[in-house]
Amino acid sequence: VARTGPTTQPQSSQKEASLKALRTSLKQLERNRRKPWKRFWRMTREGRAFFAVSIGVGLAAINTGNNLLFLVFGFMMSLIVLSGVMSEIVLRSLKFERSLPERAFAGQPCLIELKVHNGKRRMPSYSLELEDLVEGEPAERRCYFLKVAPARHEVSSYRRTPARRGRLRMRGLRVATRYPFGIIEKWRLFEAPAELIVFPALVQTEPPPLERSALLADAPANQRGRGTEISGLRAYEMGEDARAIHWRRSAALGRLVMQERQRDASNHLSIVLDNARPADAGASWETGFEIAVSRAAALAVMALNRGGGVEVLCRGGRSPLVAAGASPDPVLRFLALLEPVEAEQAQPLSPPAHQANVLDVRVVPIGRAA
Amino acid sequence: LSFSLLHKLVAYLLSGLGLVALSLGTELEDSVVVAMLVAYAVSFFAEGPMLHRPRYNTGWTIAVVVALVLQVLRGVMTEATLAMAIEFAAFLQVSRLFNRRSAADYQQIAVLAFLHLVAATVLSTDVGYAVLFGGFVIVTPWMLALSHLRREIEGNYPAAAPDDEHARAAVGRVLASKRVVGPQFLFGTAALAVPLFIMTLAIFLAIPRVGRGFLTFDKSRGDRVAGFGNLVELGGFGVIRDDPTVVMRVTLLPEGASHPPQTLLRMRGTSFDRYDGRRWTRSPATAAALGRRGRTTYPLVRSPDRARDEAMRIVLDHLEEPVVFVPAGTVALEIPPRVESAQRIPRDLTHGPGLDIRYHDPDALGLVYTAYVTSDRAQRRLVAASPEPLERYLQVPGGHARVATLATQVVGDAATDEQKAQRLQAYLSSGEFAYTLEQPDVGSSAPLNAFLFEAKRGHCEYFSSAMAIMLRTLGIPARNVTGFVGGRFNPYGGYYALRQGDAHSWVEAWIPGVGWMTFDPTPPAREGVGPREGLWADVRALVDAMRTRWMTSVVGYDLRVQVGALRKLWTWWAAQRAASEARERATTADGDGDWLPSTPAVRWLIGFAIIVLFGALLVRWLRRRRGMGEETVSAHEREAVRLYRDLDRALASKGMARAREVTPLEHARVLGESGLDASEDIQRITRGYVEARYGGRVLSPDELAQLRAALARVRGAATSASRTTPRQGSPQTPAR
Repeated sequence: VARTGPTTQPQSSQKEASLKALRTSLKQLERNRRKPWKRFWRMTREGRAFFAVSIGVGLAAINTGNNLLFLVFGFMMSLIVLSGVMSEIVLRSLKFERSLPERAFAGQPCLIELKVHNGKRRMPSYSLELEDLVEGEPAERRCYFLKVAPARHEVSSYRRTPARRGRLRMRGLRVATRYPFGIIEKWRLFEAPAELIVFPALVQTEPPPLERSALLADAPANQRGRGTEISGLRAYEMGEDARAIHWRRSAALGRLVMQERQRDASNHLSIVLDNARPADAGASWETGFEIAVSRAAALAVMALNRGGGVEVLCRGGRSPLVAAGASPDPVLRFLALLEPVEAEQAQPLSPPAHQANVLDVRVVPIGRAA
Repeated sequence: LSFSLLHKLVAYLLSGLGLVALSLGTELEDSVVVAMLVAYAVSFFAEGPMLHRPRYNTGWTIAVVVALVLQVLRGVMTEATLAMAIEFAAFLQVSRLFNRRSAADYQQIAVLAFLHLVAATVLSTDVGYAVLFGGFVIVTPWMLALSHLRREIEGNYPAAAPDDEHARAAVGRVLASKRVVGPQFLFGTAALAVPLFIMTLAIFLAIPRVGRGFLTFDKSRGDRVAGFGNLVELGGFGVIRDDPTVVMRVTLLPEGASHPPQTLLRMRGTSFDRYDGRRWTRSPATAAALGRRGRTTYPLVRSPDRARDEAMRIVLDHLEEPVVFVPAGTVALEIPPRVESAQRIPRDLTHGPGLDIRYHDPDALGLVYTAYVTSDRAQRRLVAASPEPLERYLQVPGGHARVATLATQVVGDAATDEQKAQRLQAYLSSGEFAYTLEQPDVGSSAPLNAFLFEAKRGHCEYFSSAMAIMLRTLGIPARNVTGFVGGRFNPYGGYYALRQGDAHSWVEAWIPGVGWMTFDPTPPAREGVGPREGLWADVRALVDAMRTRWMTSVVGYDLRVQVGALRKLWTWWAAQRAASEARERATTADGDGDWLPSTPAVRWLIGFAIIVLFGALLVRWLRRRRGMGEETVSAHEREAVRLYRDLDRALASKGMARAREVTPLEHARVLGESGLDASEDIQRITRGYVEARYGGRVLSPDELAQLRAALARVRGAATSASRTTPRQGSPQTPAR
C-alpha cells in the first residue's frame, strides 16, 4: 500500500518548476515554524473543472429558477467543502521517521526510507504523498502511501541522487493528500531536519603512478613494536602488560616470560590536494576543483583496495590517516566537506606523515590544458 | 470485495441512477428505455483483454460518432431535440460502461452520471427525482473516492511503455487487493451522506432566489384528467373511479384540529352548457381576467373575512387543464404571487362563462392557494354568479321528448324551481336508478333515453346529464359541472387527498332570486365504489405526503418563502428583544434584577454560544499545545523543566543558543568541550533536568537549591566571546 511516485526524470522546465515549488515549500516551512497546525491547499486540475461546472450549474439555477438545479448546486458545493474536511482528517495524527543511508555519493542514487505512523484510532489515512524537502535539491520522486491503517505504520523508500558532494540538508517533509475526491490537494509541512554527508563522486582514474613496493600490503619491519608477528621471548618485568605473557612457555620454564612482537610497517599514500583558489580563478576552476576532489577520492579508495594506507593533505588540514584494509569513509568524509580557500589567506599545505609515496592531485580548470 | 470489483459495482450503481434519472419524465420512449437497460446490463460482463483490443476501441469510437450524427439528423427532422439529446447522453454512458479500462474511464462514467442528474432537473420535478437525488448523495462519495484512489494507484505505477506488462501487473495486484478498501471504508464513506445532505440543504435554503431569465425549458405536460377540457364525452368520465392517483390536497386551516378519516369535499372545476345528445361542450366565449385585490386576493363573491370564513389550503397538481378548483361556498381565493427575477408577480387568473376559473402555469408546478369558504352553511350550495345570459343553459337537443315528459311527471305540482330541482334530484338518487361503473350499452338510442328508460343504471355523468336536461325541459337553466368530491385524510401530511377516482359530475341550476344552486343526483352508492384501501393505501398515503412536501418545500421554494422565513426570524428576534427590554425596565424599576434574560429561548441561545466559544477555545489551545510538541509534565518535573528553560534563556542571551535539533546533553557537552567557565554548572543543570524529565527521578529540595545556585552562577559568569553550537544532524530524525 506504499509506493514511490512517478519514476520519470523531470525535464529541465519541470525541474525549474520543481525547484520553484521546493523554494515555496521551504519558505512556507520557515514562515510557519511556530505554526505546525497550519494547512495549505490548492485546487487540483479536476477540482478546478469541478468548481467551474458547479458555478455553471449555479448560474443555470439562478437563470432558470429551477430549484432542483439549486439542489444540485448545493450538493456540488458541499462535496467541495466535505473534501476539505476529509483531507484534514487524513492529515491529522501522523508521525514520520526518515532513515538515511550509511553512505551516499554524488551522482549516485541512494535510497531514503520514510515511515508514516497513523496515530488515529479508527480512521485510516488514505492517499498520502510525502516529499522530502532538501535545500537546493527538489525531489525527483515522492513516496505515496495508498493506505495507512489506524494505529499502524507503513514504510516506503525513494531514490535520491545528490547532485554534489557535501552536506545534504534535509529540512522537513511535505505531506499532501488529495483524498477523498481529488478535488483539493491539502498539505502540511513538518520540520524534520537531518543531514547526510554526500561523498564525492568516484570517477574513473588511472592507478596512482607509484613504485610497486609502495602499493604492497602491510609487512613486518624487523623492529620491535605492536605488530602481529612474534619476534622472540624475554623475561617478564613488573608492570608490563600481563596480556603479553606467554603462559604455555612460562609454565614450561617455571617463570614468567613474555613474547615480543615486531612493528608492522605500512605503505601509505599521501594524496596532496591543493584547495587554494587562485585570485584570478573563474568558474572553471571550481569545476576543475570538484573533479580533482573526485579523483582524490577515487585514488584513495583504489589505494586502500590495493592494501595501502591513505591520507589526504590540503591547505591547513589533513584527513585522518586510514590504515590499509580499513573503510575509506573518514577520507571520503574529509573530501566531502573540503572547501576551497582563497590563495591569499591559505595556509601552507600540511606535510605528509610519511615522506614517501606522495601523490599530488592537481586542480585543472575545465577548458585549459592539464 | 476486491478494490476493482467494488469500484465496478459502485460505478454501475451511480451510472444506473443517472440512466434512471434520464428516464424520468416522458421524453424517452419505452423501447429506448428497455434497450438502454439491456445494454447497461450486458456491459457489466464486458471484461478482460477484449477491452484493450484496438478494433474494439475503434468500433466504439465509430459507433459514438455515428450515433451523434444520427441523433442530430433525427433531431432536425423530428424536432424532438430534447429526446434525441437524452438518447445520445444515455448512449454515451453505455459506451463508457463497455469501455471500462482505467481510472479515466471511471471518472468519465461519474461525470456523465452527474450530467444525467443535472439533465433530469428539466425532465421531471416529481418525488422520483428526490429518491434519485438521495441515491446520488450516498453513492457519489463512494464513486469519487474510489475513482480518486484508482487514479492514484495507476499514477504511481506508471507504464514505461503502452504495453508495459510489469506496470499492468503491479496495478492489477493492487486493484485485486481486498485490503485497500473494506466494510469500514464503505460505511465510513456512506456516513458522509449525512453531513453532505445537511450542507446541501443549508446551501439550498440559503441561496437567494433572485434570478430567472432566459433559456428556460418547456415543461412536460401534466396529468390528464378527463372532464375539464372543452368537451366531455358521456361515458368517458366515471370509469376512472378506481384510479388512486392523488391530484389535489386540501388542508383545513388552522392546522392541528382533529379530522375524520373521510369527508366529502366538493371541489368545483368547470361547467358545460351545450349538450348535443351525446357529449357536453362549452360555448366559445372569451375569458376575462379575474379581478384582484392587492397581489394575492381574488374575490369571487366578496373579500375574505379572515376572522369568520373557513380557510382551506389547496395543493393542486399540474394537470393538463389548468383549472382552479374551488370548494362549495367559496367567496374568495388567495394565491401567492410567483417570484421572477426577485420580483413578485401576481398570478394571472381568467374567469370564463360558467365560473370556469383557470390559471397560467408556466412552471408546470401546479398551484398552491387558499380558498375562503363562507361559514354560513345555507350559503354553501350557492355558487358565485357571473353576469352572463341564461339562455344558453336552456338548450335541449332533439329527441328528448320522453325525458321532458318524465321530468314533468316527476316534478308534479312543485311550485318553485328549487322544489322542482329537489324532486328531480330525489327521483334520480332514489333506489330506482343504480350507480355502476359499467357502461350501459345504449346502442343507437340517445344515451339519456337509454339511461332513464331502459338501463336505469350508470355513473355520475348519466345522473347529472339526466337532471340537467330534465331541468332544462322544465325551463330551468341548468349546467353540468365537473369536479372532485371526496377526501381521505392523509395522517402523514395532515391533509385530505382527492384522487383521480374522486372525479365527479353534478348539476347547478339557476334559481331565480337565489342564484346558482348545486344539486347532486348521483345516489350515495357512489361512495361505496372507489380505490381499494389497505396496506398499499397507507403506503400510497405516505408516498403522497412525501411528494407533497417535496413539491411545496423543495420544488416550490422561492424568494417569497425565504423572505417569509427571514421575516419570521426577525419578528421572533424583535419579540425577544422587546420582552428583554421590558424585563430590564421592570427590574430597573424594582431595583433588583437578574442580568440574564429569563426567556428560555434566549437563555438557551446564550448557553449554546458560550459552549461553542469555550469549545472553540479549548480546541485551539489543544491544537497549539500539540503543535508545539509539548507534553504534559508532572509536578515534580515542572521545576526541573523551568530550571532548564531558564538555563536555555541565559545561554541564548550570551549567544550560546541551542539549535532545535541539538539535544540538551549534546549542547552541554559541546559547551564543556569549548572550555566555558560555567560548563560544569551547565552540565549539572542539564543532567538534573534530563534525569527528572525523562528518568523519572524526583529532585530533592536540596538538589533543586543547588541547581538554582548553579543557574545563578551561569547567569553571572562572564563569557569572553559568544559562540553558538554547531548544528548536528542525525541519520534518523523523528518528526512530528
